[in-house]
Amino acid sequence: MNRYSALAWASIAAGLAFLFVVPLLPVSLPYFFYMMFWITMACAFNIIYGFVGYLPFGYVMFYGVGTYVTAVLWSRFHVPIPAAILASGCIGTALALAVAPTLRLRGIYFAIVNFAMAMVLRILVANLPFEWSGGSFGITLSRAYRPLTSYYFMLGLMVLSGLTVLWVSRSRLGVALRCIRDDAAAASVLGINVPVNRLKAWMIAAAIPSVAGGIEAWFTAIVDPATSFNMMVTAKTIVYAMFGGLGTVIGPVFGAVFMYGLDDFIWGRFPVLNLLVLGLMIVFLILFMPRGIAGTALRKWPRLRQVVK
Amino acid sequence: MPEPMGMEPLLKIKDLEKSFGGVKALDGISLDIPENSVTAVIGPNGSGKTTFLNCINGIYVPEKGSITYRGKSLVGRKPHEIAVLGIGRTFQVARVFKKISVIDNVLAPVLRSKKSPARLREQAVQLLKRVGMGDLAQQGGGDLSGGQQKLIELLRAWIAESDLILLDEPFAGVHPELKARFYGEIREMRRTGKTFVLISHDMKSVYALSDEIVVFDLGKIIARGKEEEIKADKRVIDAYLG
Ligand SMILES: Nc1ncnc2c1ncn2[C@@H]1O[C@H](COP(=O)(O)OP(=O)(O)OP(=O)(O)O)[C@@H](O)[C@H]1O
Ligand SMILES: [Mg+2]
Repeated sequence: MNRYSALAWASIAAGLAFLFVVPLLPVSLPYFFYMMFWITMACAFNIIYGFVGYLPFGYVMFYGVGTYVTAVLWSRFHVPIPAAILASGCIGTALALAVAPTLRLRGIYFAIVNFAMAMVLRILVANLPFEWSGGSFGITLSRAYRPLTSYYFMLGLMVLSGLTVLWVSRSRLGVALRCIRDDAAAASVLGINVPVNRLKAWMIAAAIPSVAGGIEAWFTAIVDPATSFNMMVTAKTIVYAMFGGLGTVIGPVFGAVFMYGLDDFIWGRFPVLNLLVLGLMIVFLILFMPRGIAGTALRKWPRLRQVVK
Repeated sequence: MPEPMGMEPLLKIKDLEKSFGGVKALDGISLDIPENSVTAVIGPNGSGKTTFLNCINGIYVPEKGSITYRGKSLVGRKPHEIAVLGIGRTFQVARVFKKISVIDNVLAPVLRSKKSPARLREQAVQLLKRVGMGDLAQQGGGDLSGGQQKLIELLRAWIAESDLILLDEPFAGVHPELKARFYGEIREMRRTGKTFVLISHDMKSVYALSDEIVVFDLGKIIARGKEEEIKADKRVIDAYLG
């Protein structure tokens, strides 16, 4: 281990220790809860966009389904929250499997179809029987409200998704995914099963936000279609992950921490400007920094590779 | 008379047809490739040579005909399934993954191998050293010259232990020094029992390396034989050598 990676691991350890004691400190619990939420989302998104090159514009759907599965199971079927959250992950993954045929589409076609599916799901959920989903009013889970416990659940999920990305990146699956992203036909001639590897990445990338949705529903104790299927969730995930640097392990973590902080700062002071700034950021990123912070740094200082990758 | 055991050709191709729109790229190709041989396929541009390889390794599905490898039909199988059966391939324009390292490029065909990753890595390093690319192992695939990329494709077939290796213009655009390496590697692999189909416009290499030469024109085989027979064939001279 060289000096750089030692430093990187030390800062990660320090960050985690800090997040662990946040509830004891006089700081905003929701602020750090959502920071971890966005790190989790950006890491998971990285697996399907950064490693495989598929851009799911309807990424919010996994989060959205996750929130509703937990809320409905708990409120209508009296399933304990932890089991309901687990079910969120399973059903989100099943949903990914169900829409897997769309992975045959490439580029913008996949993105658009995925976007459309998220909208359809939103309408479906809003029109579930009222006793189940509460229609557009949604569901409250105030009797399950446990901000501290749900905070630690999110911390656990964030660590898990970070480790997942690290594992994917270093495993054979990661090499296969990078080959596929570069040239799928050539990968297949070398014996790499393109559809199966893609599907694995897609299911991992869906499971994590589904679980995150369940935990977030528990944390806020309220779920409604407009929030659960808000396209801004997709937009933010994309921007945060891209800003940090897709395809690297640490990039999306860094991007989420920084951009979420910035977003929160601007939102607090200029609520109207916020969307405008987010839009401008997207344009700026795509034009000038398609590799994100980590990717750009890697180009300049290749020695950072062991730290970032 | 039944064929004696062990003489079954490694690859048996019968009446292969493949067209694109109105163009018959392959128009009834039948060819047997014996085990541990080098069969050269030559012919003018557009005569169907690359299409032939694409049908063998599943990139295209032929409309008609059969392809049998060690008694198994290949038609309708996916490229990755065919690769796993032991058929390797290089491309006319090398297809090296640009954004992954050279060593990972060499290792790409053995991601699911049962051998230990450490041993495979060591083997890849040795192979790279053999062809004089030891220092490049950690570079990106995109940093290599076209000729080096073609060598990487050959090393992949080597590490994957493919039994049948399809080479599409391996020498085109390759520096003479690298070409010598190619010759050496192909001869060495041949010695260890491998079988090659070699497409090349470079007649010197074809004569030097091949056991049999097959001449394609307009999707048909117009001649086959050894160097002297090909050189003497009137149709080959008209269509290609002339
Ligand atoms: N994907 C494709 N779509 C349409 N036509 C194709 C396709 N692939 C090959 N062809 C046509 O099939 C015919 C045979 O092409 P092929 O590439 O097999 O020739 P070749 O012998 O490899 O030529 P060269 O020596 O130039 O590499 C040509 O007329 C070509 O235009
Ligand atoms: Mg060709």
